[in-house]
Order: sequence, then C-alpha cells, then structure tokens
Amino acid sequence: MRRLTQINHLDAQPSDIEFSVVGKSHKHESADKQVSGKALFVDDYPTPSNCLHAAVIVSNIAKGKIESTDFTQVESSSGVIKLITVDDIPGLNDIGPIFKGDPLLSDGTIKYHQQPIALVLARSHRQAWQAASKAKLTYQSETPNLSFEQAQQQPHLLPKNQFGASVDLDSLIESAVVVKGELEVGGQEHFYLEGQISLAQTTEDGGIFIRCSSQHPTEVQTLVAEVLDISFNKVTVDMRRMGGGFGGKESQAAQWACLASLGAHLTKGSVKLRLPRKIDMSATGKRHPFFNSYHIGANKHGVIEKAHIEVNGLCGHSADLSGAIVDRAMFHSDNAYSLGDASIVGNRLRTDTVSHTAFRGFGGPQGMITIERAIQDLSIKTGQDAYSLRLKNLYREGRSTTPYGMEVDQCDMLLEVMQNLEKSSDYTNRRAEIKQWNNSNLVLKKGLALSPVKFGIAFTATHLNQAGALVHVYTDGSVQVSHGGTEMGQGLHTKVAQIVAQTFGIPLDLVHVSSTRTDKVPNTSPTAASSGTDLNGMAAHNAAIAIKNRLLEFAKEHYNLDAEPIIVNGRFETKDQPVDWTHLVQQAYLKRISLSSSGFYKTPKIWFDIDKSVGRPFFYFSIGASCSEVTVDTLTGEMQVDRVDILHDVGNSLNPAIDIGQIEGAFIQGMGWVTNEELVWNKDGVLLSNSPMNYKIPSIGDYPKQMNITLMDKANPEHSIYRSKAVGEPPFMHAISLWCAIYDAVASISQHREIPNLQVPATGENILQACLAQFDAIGYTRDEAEVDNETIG
Amino acid sequence: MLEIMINEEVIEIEYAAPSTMLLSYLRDQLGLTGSKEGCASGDCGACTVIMIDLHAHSGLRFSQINACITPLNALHAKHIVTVEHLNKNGALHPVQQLVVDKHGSQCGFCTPGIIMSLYALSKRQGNTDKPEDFLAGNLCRCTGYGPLIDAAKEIAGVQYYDPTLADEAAVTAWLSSCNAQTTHNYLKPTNRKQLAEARRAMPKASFIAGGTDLALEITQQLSDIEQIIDISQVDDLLSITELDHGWRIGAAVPLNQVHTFMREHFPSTDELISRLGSLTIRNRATLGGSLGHASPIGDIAPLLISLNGEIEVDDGETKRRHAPHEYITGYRQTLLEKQQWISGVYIPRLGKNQRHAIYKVSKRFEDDIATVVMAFNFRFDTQSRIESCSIAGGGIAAKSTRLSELEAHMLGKPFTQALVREVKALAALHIHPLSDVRGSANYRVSLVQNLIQRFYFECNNIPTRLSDHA
Ligand SMILES: Cc1cc2nc3c(=O)[nH]c(=O)nc-3n(C[C@H](O)[C@H](O)[C@H](O)COP(=O)(O)OP(=O)(O)OC[C@H]3O[C@@H](n4cnc5c(N)ncnc54)[C@H](O)[C@@H]3O)c2cc1C
Ligand code: FES
Ligand code: FES
Repeated sequence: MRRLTQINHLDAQPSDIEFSVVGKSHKHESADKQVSGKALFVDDYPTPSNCLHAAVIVSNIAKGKIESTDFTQVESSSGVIKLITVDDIPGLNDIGPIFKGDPLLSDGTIKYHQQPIALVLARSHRQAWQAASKAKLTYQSETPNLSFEQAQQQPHLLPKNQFGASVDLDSLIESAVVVKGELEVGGQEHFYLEGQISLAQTTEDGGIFIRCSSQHPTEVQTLVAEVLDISFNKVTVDMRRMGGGFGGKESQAAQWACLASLGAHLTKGSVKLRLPRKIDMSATGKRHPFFNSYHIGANKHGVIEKAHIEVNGLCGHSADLSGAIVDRAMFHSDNAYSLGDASIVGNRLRTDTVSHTAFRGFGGPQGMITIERAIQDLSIKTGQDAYSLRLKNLYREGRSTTPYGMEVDQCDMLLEVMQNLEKSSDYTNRRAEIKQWNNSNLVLKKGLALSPVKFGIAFTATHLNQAGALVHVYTDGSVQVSHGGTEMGQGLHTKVAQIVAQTFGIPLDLVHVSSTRTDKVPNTSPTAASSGTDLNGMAAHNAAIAIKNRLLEFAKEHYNLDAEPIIVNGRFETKDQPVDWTHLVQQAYLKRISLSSSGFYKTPKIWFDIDKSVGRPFFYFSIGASCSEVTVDTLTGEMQVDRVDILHDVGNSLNPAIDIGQIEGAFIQGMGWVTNEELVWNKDGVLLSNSPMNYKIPSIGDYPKQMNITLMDKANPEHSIYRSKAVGEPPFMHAISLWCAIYDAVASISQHREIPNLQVPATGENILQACLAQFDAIGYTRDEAEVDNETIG
Repeated sequence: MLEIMINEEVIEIEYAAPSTMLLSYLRDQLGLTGSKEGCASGDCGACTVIMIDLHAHSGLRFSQINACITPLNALHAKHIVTVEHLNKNGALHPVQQLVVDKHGSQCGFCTPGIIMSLYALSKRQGNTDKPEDFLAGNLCRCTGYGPLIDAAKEIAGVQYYDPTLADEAAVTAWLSSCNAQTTHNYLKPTNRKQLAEARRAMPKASFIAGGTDLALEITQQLSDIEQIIDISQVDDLLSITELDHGWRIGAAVPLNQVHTFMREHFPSTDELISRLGSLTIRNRATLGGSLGHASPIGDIAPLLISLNGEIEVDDGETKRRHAPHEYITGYRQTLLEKQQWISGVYIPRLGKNQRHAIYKVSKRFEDDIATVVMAFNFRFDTQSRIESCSIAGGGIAAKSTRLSELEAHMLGKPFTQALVREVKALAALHIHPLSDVRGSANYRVSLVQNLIQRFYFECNNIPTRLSDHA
C-alpha cells in the first residue's frame, strides 16, 4: 500500500493585489449540503404525481438497417403505458448540435451499437427498463468500420485542414536528427458519477419545463423546442448542479432531455429518463481516440527545426463537436515548443461507433501527448536528457510564434515554471539516483519526466466567447446572481459569488447564486473550454458594476459626499458615521434607483481566419509543468506512481483551494487516461468496457505516494476577471509527464538506446509488451540473472 | 414481517419483494435521497450506508455496505444509518465538517457515500494502519482523492463524539429483542435443520449469502428473483474453528473477518484478500458465495487450491469434502447438487519448509477483477529439492485450475533458473486462455510465465514487488 507524505492542499498563495473576498479559499458553496446528502440532483427532486419513467430500446448491432420490429411484448410488459417511435416526433428528429447527423431515434438506419430506437414509458424505472429489454428486432447487419485503417478508406466526416505551409518531407530527412513515429491515443469514458438524467414536465401553455444534468441548458432548450416543434420561449431549462460533467454533458445530455420531453409532451404529463450505468457507458460518446503521426527534424544539439504532424481523430458516426476538437488537437500539437517550419494536419474520420464528444481538454491532450512522445524519442536519438531537450525547445524570444500565427507572450513564464519545478522537485539529483536504482534492480525499473503544459484559453469558435448574467439586489441587502454557466463541481458558482461580493464590496454570505435557467439568462454558451469563470464571472461582474455605479452615484448625492464612497466589507464612511450596505440599498430603493441589472461580456482580442488558418484563437495561455516518477514491474507491466510535483499558473487565484482541487482532480483523471482507462470494442462494434466492472477509473489506492501541488503566483497580463486564469482543463495534461516517466522507465532497460513502443493508455499489457521488446532488443534473458540458490527452503 | 431500524425509526415492513434493494427502498419509498445510485453494481460506493448489528464480543458493530446490492430482506433486525442521520440535529457531524474543511467535495455526488465510509472509519476502535482502505470502494471522479486521504488519516484512531448514536443502549436493546424474520419467499434459517427444510420447501430458490454476486442478476440483468434462501445466519456456516491439522472456516463468514484470520495465519494471502473487491464488498461477501458462483476469474478458488484446502458441502444430513479443483467442474459449474449447500472450507496449516505465494494482476490495483491470478505452494526437502508443490491459476481457463503438468515437471528437482525456464516453456504449451476486455491471451500467457519467475525471484530474496519497494 502506498504511504503518503504531506501535500499542501490549503496553502493559500498570496496574490499580487489584496482582495477581501476573491483570492481566499472559501469552501464550495454547496459543501455543507453535499456532505449531508441535502444537495439535490435531478433524481433527488420529488417527482410530480403520476410521473412516468422512460427507458430506451437500443440497437444490438453497430451498423445496418432495421428489418422488422415487434414491440408486443414490450407493450404488454407490466407497468408499460406507452411506446414511442420516430414516427411520433412532432418536429425534427435530428439533434446535431452544429452539423446535422444525430438522430434522436433511429429512422431505420443503425449507425452505432446501442443506438436508441424507441422510447418506453412505464410506471417505474425498473419496469420501463425491463420492458425495453423485451423488444424483438431483426436487422440487416453490415460490417462496422472501427479501426483507423478502415476509417481512412472512407470519406471523412468533415474537411481536412492544415496549419502552416507544407513542410517538405525530403528536406526534413537532411536534418542532423530525425524522429518519425506514430502514436495511438485511446479515448476515455467520462464516468461522471451521476449518469445522464432528465425530468420533463409539460406546462399549461403546451411548453416544457426540464430539470436536467447538462453543461449546455440553452442547447437543450433549443433542441427540445425543435423536436417538439414549439417556440423556444415555451421551453425552460433549470439546471442546479451536475454530478460531474467533464464534457460528457456538453452536447450529449440533450438527447435524453429531448426524449424525456417527447414523452412528457405526448402524454401531457411528466417523464423522467435516467440511464443505467451500462447504457450510459455504451450509448454516449467519449473522448476521441486519435491516431497521430509525427516527423521531426532537429539540429545536432536537438533543437527542432522542422516538423510535420498529422492528427487523426476517430469521431464516431457523426460530427458532433469533432470539428473543433480536432482543431484543438492541432492547436496543441506544439505544446510549449517552437517547432520551426511546421505543418500540422488534422483529419476527422468516421467510424461506426457512438459519436465521440467533448472531454476535459477537448482534443488538446491528444495533440499534446504526440509532441511529448516525439521529444522522448528525440532524447533517445540524441542521447540527451529529455528535460534539457524540452528546455531548449521551449517558445523563446525570436521563436515565439505558433504554427497558427499566434504570439506566445509569456515565454519567460514558461521557462520560469520549468526551472522552478526542476529545483523544487530536485529533478537533477533524482535523475542520478534513478540511474543507479535501475542499474542495480533486475525487475523494478524507475522513470522520471518533467514536462510543460501550455493550453490556449477561449472557445476556438469565436462566437461562443460571450456570456450573460443577471444580478438582483434585494432590500435586505442580499444579492441573487444568475449566470449562464453551469455548476458541475468545479466551483464556478462559488467563484462567481466571490466575484460579485468583491465587486460590490460586501461579505460573501450576502450573495447567492441560483440555479442556471434559460428564462433568466438566455442564449448562453456551454460551460466548457475552461472558460466558465472567465466568461460568466466577467458578465456577473459587469452586472454588479452597473448596479454599484448607480448606488455610488446615489450615495454621493444622498450622503453629501465629496466623492463616490468606497464600500468595504459592506460599509462605507460618510462625514458623520459609517453607513452599511443594507441601509444604502434601502435608501436607494426609496429613491427609485434600479437594483437589478443584466451583465454581458465578450472576450476581447480573439480572431481566427479559417481560410488562412492564422489568427489569435486564444485570449491567453494557461501555463504549468509537472514532474512524475514511476516504478515499473518489468515482469508484469504493473506500475506505481511514486511522486508527482506540479507547478501551475492560475494567474491571481480566485480561490486557491478550488484551484488546487481542480489541478489535483484533473491530474488523477489524466492519470487514468494515460494508464488504465482502456476502451475496448470488439469487431462487431460492441463496447466491451461498458461498466465499472471492466472499465477502471483511478481509485484511492492509485493516488501517487507523494504529491506536491503549487500555484504559480503571477497575475494574468491580460484583463481577465481579477487577473485570474482558467483552470478546468489545463492540469489534465500534467498526466502526460507521468506517461513520459513510464516511457523513461521502460527505455532504461536498453540504457535508453531503443525507442519503446508505448501507446496511450499505457496499460499493464502495453507496458509489459514494451518491456519484452526492450529485453529482446538487447538480447537479455532472465537466465543471466545470478541468484543464490542456497537461500530457498 | 420484517423489522429494520432506519436512522431513528424502527420500520415494520409487511412484505418486500426479494428483489427489492435497500437503495431503492431508501430513495423511492422513504424519500431519503442522500444515498445515490452511481452504478447499482457495488463498484462506485455512492450508495454506501452503515449497517449496525450486534457482535457477540465487541457489541455494536458498524460496517459500511453498498445499499444498491443489499436486499431489503437481508436487513431484518439491523440498524441502518444513512447520511441524513449524521447531522440530524442540524449541525454537521465532525466527519462531515472535516470533509468540508479539506475541500473534499466537488460535484458532491460521491460525497454522501464517502462520508459514510469515513464514518465507519471513525467508528473503528484503535489504530488502523491503512485508513484509506475504508475508501477503496468509493470512486470519486472529481477530487483526485487527495483531500479524502487527508481526511481519512485525520479520522483514523481519533475518538469523536458521535452525536448520531446518542442512545447506544436503546439500539443494543432493540437489536437483541427483535423477533425472528417471517417473510415468505425470503427464508432466513438459522441452523442446518432449518436450512434443509427451507431447501425442501423452496427447491427453486436461490441461495444468498452476502449477495454481492447474486444481487447483480437483479440490478444488472433486471431479473426478478422470486424466491431466496438467505444462508447468512446459519450457525454452522458462521464460525472459524481450529482443528488438529488446520482450520475450518464457515462458508458464510464475511470476508473481512476471514481476512483478519488469514492475515494472522496465512500472511501470504493478506494482499490478495485486501484487493478482493473493496472493504465495503468484503463486509458482505463470503467464501461460500465465491465458490457458489465459481467464476473462473474469482480469487478464492485459486487461493484454496494452492493452500490444499477442501470444500465442505452439506445437505443437512451428510457433509462431504471435495478438493476445490475437482469441485469446480467447468465454467461456473460445480459438483454441488440441488439439495446441497457449501457449509465451510478446510485449510491445513503450512509447514516450516513450505513456501506459499499468491499473485493477482489486474488493470487497477485495488477493487478489480483479476486478469490472472497465480498461486504457488512449494515444500522443499532438506536438499532444497521440491518435495511437493501445487500451482493454481485463475483467469487462464474456463475455470480456476491446478496446473498439474507444471507441478509434475518440477517435483523432486532443485528450484533453479534453469527449471524456471523449462516450466515457463511448458506453461506456454499447456495454457490456452481467452482474449477479453481485461487482456489478450498472449498477455495472460506472459503473466503466467513471469509470475513463475517472480515466485522464483522472491524465493531468492530478489525484490520484485512494487508495493514493498522503498
Ligand atoms: C464491486 C465488486 C467487486 C468484486 N471484486 C471481486 C474480486 O476482486 N475478486 C473476486 O473473487 N470476486 C469479486 N467479486 C465477486 C463477489 O463479491 C465475490 O465472489 C463474493 O465472494 C461473493 O460472495 P457473496 O456471499 O456476496 O455471494 P452471493 O451473491 O451471496 O452468492 C453468489 C452465488 O453463490 C451462491 N451461494 C452463496 N452462498 C452459497 C453457499 N453457502 N452454498 C451454495 N451456494 C451459495 C448464490 O446462490 C449465488 O449464486 C466482486 C463483486 C463486486 C460486486
Ligand atoms: S450505486 Fe455504485 S456501489 Fe452502489
Ligand atoms: S466530488 Fe464529484 S465524484 Fe466525487
């Protein structure tokens, strides 16, 4: 069992500016309710009387046509009230979020295994799912395309695109050092602890009121309206909290909300649809598997001069968000390195599986790990330590432009983060110790890697970078905030409450953030791309500023002040005595000053020219570095994480405890992605890893034996909300250093002479294969092991 | 009639279908929605609650269990505590406050289950060397576990004032005064005779012990099991007794108790048992259940085979013993006859010149089904030759097997690297595993070979194990 040493979870890092509310480690706004079981998730709300429960009848094949359907046993199953098929849909059957191609219910064509075909409504959840399993369907089945090789032969889902002028591969060969390789990058199941769920109720106007677990209430609203053929203003979505989202409820919560709404609409009542875990795992999209290749030329010192990188996302049956996801993989194929003359190509391939979707990092991790693998290869080719190669190749003065034409402004920060971490993690000494360890251990081999993360912040679809908020001040001084962002555990509502309290100059407990509702703040963007706080925090701030300006102007006049007062901790000074906030609010109310305002924000500076593939797609970069040490068992491929050090830049932290929580949680989730979380489909397109029994996310025993997380304490040079930086996704990619450490451990078998064939995830099986190949390459057999037989018995 | 104390209230249930699980009863019938459903298969821990019963020696016993796979009918005369109860007076329980202070909840969906596991930890008397074990059955996708590990370490061994259980005496009195369970379709005999009668009365009923396997038929395959005989209270199945040559362990002794016993007498099995499911699972799971479903990837059968154990089956009249590799006849098939049940297992003492090891390789270290299990039990003579040996494997065939070809090849020979090489080659010829979601056939063959190598290295004191390196 792993023993742990101290970790500095709660070390509040000092900020550049003194704030009274932001910058402090306030507890999560729902923490007390969560620990006492009082925080309500959709399934916890009392159901309306006569609420029906829905289940979906799903396809047993991955590709083909439905030949015949026989639902008699479904309909006669106990508790069943109604069966709904595609023909019952009043409006559109296609719920594709950007591009078309996502049928709500199959129209006869089957595009993936477990595709919904019909909806059953019954008196109870169990009855509905029992009935659904009784459908008798026959199919004309076709062989599904599943692999990269098969998918390559098919027309792509979306057009290919490229950053940078094509690099002449012939001239690349002339470089002093050339590395060329391919990397298979696996997908990942979200495994949010709360599965997909929606509760829909019809309203007296023939509309729908929906509680659902969704990162994108506006999209749910619009799609439900389109499916039911009613206007958007008749649909209201209420989203209080999700039990985890991670991208899996960005576009793919909509299907279940639409189905529940369809059921409610057709029965003029209420319907709840909750997916059992296995259905959730097999019927919803995952992180995209990628198949990438890299071809890199460096000078004899290991400085990269030329690169050609191709990223191929396996998208599943439809486009969903794949356009932007492959874009983001391309945007991060350089990670933090200047590649010189570089061309980066992205392809979006169709496979006959669920449609893969957003997942923390949104393609970024799959792009980033490819260049990090290339650097590891380069280290083997040049005989230099991978860390020193990384330092050499960082974006730096004179080489600070990305392949898509954006300047990296914080090159100095990149270097500083790396060097600080090198010191604090004691990298150099540990490197020497590990070398010694590996020389004297037959079976257990250690590896170490220190790598950077540079992650672009903003939606790459420029129009999504907007947000709205609504702030009300009531006459007891309390404040209610609504904004377009959704709370999925990341602490968004806590941070927004802190921002509003800070902006007004009042104590945090006066501010309440309500559930996210489409009737309070309309036309919102999904809570995604790490931008939740950047966008919604700024919108709420703007709303608060509008009210505050009215109040200050009023105060100056009303209390006869020389200048507008400064409110601190809910009070301000006048000539006679201090006035408190509530008093000010009440006086203002009596003088008919509006105490409510909406706020709006759009991210400045960003643009992108799609035709030329250049621009500034990101407002800024989030920066960090991590150092991981692992031990690998070369007999079994088992692996253990010995130590992890992370140094991460969140600008001025709005809430250090929440930020550290995001970093730690993201790292462990990333660790799952690069190690044990393996998606396995059989040749018929059936997902075999379809339950927590056979798909293993990290559990408590996988936590590193030692973990140190530190925030880099530097204000964001851009005018972000209180000069903070986004934190949701970037730290996920710190797990790449862990993967590189496994690579390093395996390569130590050949004294770092042979490139190990390590893939993502590096499962025990993959690690063992790679170890055996290393042993083969150096001609080692265990028989050479000198052991003393006297000790037995 | 069924009587359960849930939080403060004693609830009398006239009838509950055998397939009703505690979780749906709490959530749907009682409106206690604090306990969550994350999987309904015992894997995530979001449904964790505390079961309190009376233990002969130590008084009130607190065990964390998975409400999603515990039949309501199994809980007669037990006290169930759910998360709602911990702050019944409005103030947070010290364990809840600690998780808040550590910033241990993000989305909060796993949190009630985490709280209950930590509450169970806080009820453990004295020191626990691995407090995190109490959370091994609780998945959290958000926090990364750091703050929860901190919380567990802080809770371990500390005596908290527990506002929840104000009146222990009253609970004890109630627990010891409950009438016998009278439910039809769910029989709970307490001795051999009653069990045999129950079997005759309901020949089609399923046996249930801990239910950690059987319940999945109900929650995953959605079958409505109509009749159940619960063997968990049958006295003959509940004790561990010392005999001349070893021990008899009752088939229904919960694995956590078996673990304590085995750790003391067979320390080589400690790691395996601590990785069998999670503590939450082991609080309910039994040896009889594992041998009852006879899954080829179960951990218990290879363990028993390698320890030269025996399985005792009973029909109320006659007890018979079988060697485990003979008892298991095929894929989930055994010699057990309809009127029989498993009553216990026998394990002989290990001799001085005997060396036992059992290795499990799984994708995830904890709470995962094995890709391969290999177990070795070698006795050496005075010249360090292999006098007798048993080699058992799981995950490499349709049933847990004894690798007698390998054994035969090794007998009488000194245990050398040369012999290891021969046996590794032989293994490749004799085992024909399947490829599945946990690993390919090739991987499994390599594992079998390399675990033989590992055993050899360990016999020679060459460090091979991740868990004990510095
Ligand atoms: C989350 C989870 C993790 C698990 N991890 C592991 C693991 O790591 N390794 C492992 O080996 N197993 C694992 N299991 C499987 C299972 O928990 C164990 O095999 C356990 O020992 C079963 O015991 P039980 O008492 O709960 O069985 P039950 O579910 O009560 O019974 C199982 C079967 O045996 C029959 N049966 C039970 N007792 C008897 C008896 N005395 N006589 C005759 N028949 C009987 C029942 O009718 C049923 O068919 C896991 C299960 C879960 C849910
Ligand atoms: S709901 Fe997952 S263990 Fe019970
Ligand atoms: S806090 Fe979200 S799963 Fe644990």
